[in-house]
Amino acid sequence: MMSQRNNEHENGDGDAFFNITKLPDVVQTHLCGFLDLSSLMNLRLTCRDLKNVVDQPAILKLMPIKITTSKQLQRIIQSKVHYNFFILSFLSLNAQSHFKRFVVRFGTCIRKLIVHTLSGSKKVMSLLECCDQLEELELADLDFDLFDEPDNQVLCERIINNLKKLRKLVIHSNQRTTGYARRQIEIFFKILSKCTSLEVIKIPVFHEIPLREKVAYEPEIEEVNNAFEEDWEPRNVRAPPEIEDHGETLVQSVLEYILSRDGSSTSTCLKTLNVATICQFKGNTFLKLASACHKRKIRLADVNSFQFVKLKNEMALLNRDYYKIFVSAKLTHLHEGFPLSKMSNLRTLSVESSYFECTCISNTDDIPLPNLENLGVTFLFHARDSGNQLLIQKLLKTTRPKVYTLKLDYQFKESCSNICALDITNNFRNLTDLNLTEWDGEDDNYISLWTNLSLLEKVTLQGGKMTNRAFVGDFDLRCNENICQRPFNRLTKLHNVNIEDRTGKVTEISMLGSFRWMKLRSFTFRSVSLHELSLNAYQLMANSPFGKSVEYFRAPPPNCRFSNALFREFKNLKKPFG
Amino acid sequence: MALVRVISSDGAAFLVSQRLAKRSGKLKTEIETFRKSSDNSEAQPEIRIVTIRAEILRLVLQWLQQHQNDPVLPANQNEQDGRGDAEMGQSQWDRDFLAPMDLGIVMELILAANHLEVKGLLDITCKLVESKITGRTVDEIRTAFKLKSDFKGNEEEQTRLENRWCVEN
Repeated sequence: MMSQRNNEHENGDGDAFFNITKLPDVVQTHLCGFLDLSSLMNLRLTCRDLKNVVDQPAILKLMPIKITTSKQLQRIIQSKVHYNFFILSFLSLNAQSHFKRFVVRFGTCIRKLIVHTLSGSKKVMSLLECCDQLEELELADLDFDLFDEPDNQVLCERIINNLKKLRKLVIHSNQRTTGYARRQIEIFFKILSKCTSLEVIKIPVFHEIPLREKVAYEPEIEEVNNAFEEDWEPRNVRAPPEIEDHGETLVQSVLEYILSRDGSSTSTCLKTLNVATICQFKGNTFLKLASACHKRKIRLADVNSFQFVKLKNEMALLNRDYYKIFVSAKLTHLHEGFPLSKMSNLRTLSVESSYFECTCISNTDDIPLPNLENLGVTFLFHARDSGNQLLIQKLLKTTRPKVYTLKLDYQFKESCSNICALDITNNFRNLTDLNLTEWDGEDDNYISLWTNLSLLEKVTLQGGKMTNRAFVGDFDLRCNENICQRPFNRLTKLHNVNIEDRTGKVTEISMLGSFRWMKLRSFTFRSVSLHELSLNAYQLMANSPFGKSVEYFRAPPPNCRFSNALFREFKNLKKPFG
Repeated sequence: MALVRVISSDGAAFLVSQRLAKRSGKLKTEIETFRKSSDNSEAQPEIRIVTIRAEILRLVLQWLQQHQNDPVLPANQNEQDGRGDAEMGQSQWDRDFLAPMDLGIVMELILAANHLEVKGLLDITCKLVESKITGRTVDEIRTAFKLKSDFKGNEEEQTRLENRWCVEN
């Protein structure tokens, strides 16, 4: 658990006392984790030893340092601590020299940086120029100049070099952000295109507002009453003059950034483009964005659903090899937007549904779900809280030989397990992937499924009424004979099992008795009752066909300290355990 | 009921059930190791804890006894899910358990909890120390923990200056 450095009983003068500095480092960090920033700062003032304890990088890493005034900036510069997470929020800088000193002082320490409106400064890029350890960058309210000199190639090169470790970029923009120059955004994304480790771009509010060329103007200041205050900034500034619309947008910059990635190994890190709210997209912009993400295998996350409605007339532009869509949307809107029957190459349609979306399923008879399987697509069926069992039962009653994936997400008040099990075994015989969540089926129903769905390759079971018997039938778990006759062990093509036991009725012995004989590639097991498995269980699993085949294994931890040595016994394990 | 004999640094022996002892990561490992190396499966393990004296060991075992039905917290839960027991709120029993202890005993208890890998106990003792620091002035902290300022020259003033940016925030 934790190493022990010193465990002497302090009773030098007969009076035991508490000395934090005598605690092992890891306990000091644990203890300081309970303290707020103010308490930690007080602790620094008590004595030199405690100052050194608080100044440990492991403790300082825990908290973001928020700077909102020039005074704070000035004082943080004097600090000898290497803070690495800064929030520069609404910072108005009169004294540029402070900022320069800040950049010099902390530039090489910063790993995480959030900048909210750095007014009065054109130095964001000068900061980035020095941040060679930056992993996360968040720019909010982009109403400031990114560059003093956008054409400065040397500066760009330096920033490109420095942002090599950047993994996450968040850009908050709004409709007011028209002040920044198109050229600067272009260069910014050009720089990003060289950031080979960037995995996530998040643009919480994504809109198609033109970026306009900023025209230099002298603001007229009407009041200077508070000019003596250190954080003074001009107010009642005259509005900038009308400026020319170049038609360039943030969306286009993002699109260019995505499409400029040539697919080589060095430019394939971006996995997610998170756009929580899309608004004011014109024409087929969303379609272009979705296609671009699809081409580069980027997950387009959190799209607001009404975008799909607008796609109705633009499907002709849809790329023919559009085979995978990851979106979050109401199925009704998806149906209206996507003429699914025309998408001959569609293979997977993944819809993350919630309460209201499922209400739509149950109440809308014209959703063409029954047609999907004719295209050979994945059939995902969320039934949670639908309140209309009849429709779902009706959908299950049709024979669907081309449906390979079925997800039943149940929370019905009335029992329907018998009907559903019978329908699934009769009508979905070619299923390869079955996902049952909160299904009220009992062991006999599960056994019936395993007996009839012989092609299953992947099974996910969450909640429900399953017990050990659902996997092993009526066989004696302690007996190794007749393994192949046990219902679950008959699934010879099965390679991926994910079980979440929320009733605590699936036990360790079931894992030993059933799964260790199966050549699985991936196995996940969670249980409310089993917080740890015995060493014996892990050893038996390791020395069985399971131990030789499994590549991904996640289960309650072993109750011993030799886990590293133990997991070396699992020859094909690719991901770390747990 | 399988038992295990746990012996403190000053030679006091405590006979506890193996089920209870296994709530401690360290004791659990010791028991497993003993089982592996011993030919006689009925033999009673004997574990000597050379760094914990009897008074403290008794307190740890008392705490384990009270919490024997709690779920075992993984050692790294802190990093993943925030604080364990301490965040969830201490029970009245825990408060009564810690109330009569002076900080010297708490210090030893923290070291013992760390050594024996009893995360729940480590959390509530750390939380107790936290309550002695939070909301107190520097002098009050010094008094509570019997600390003397050993800053030289203007070192303290310098540290105070370093803190200003956050204290005045």
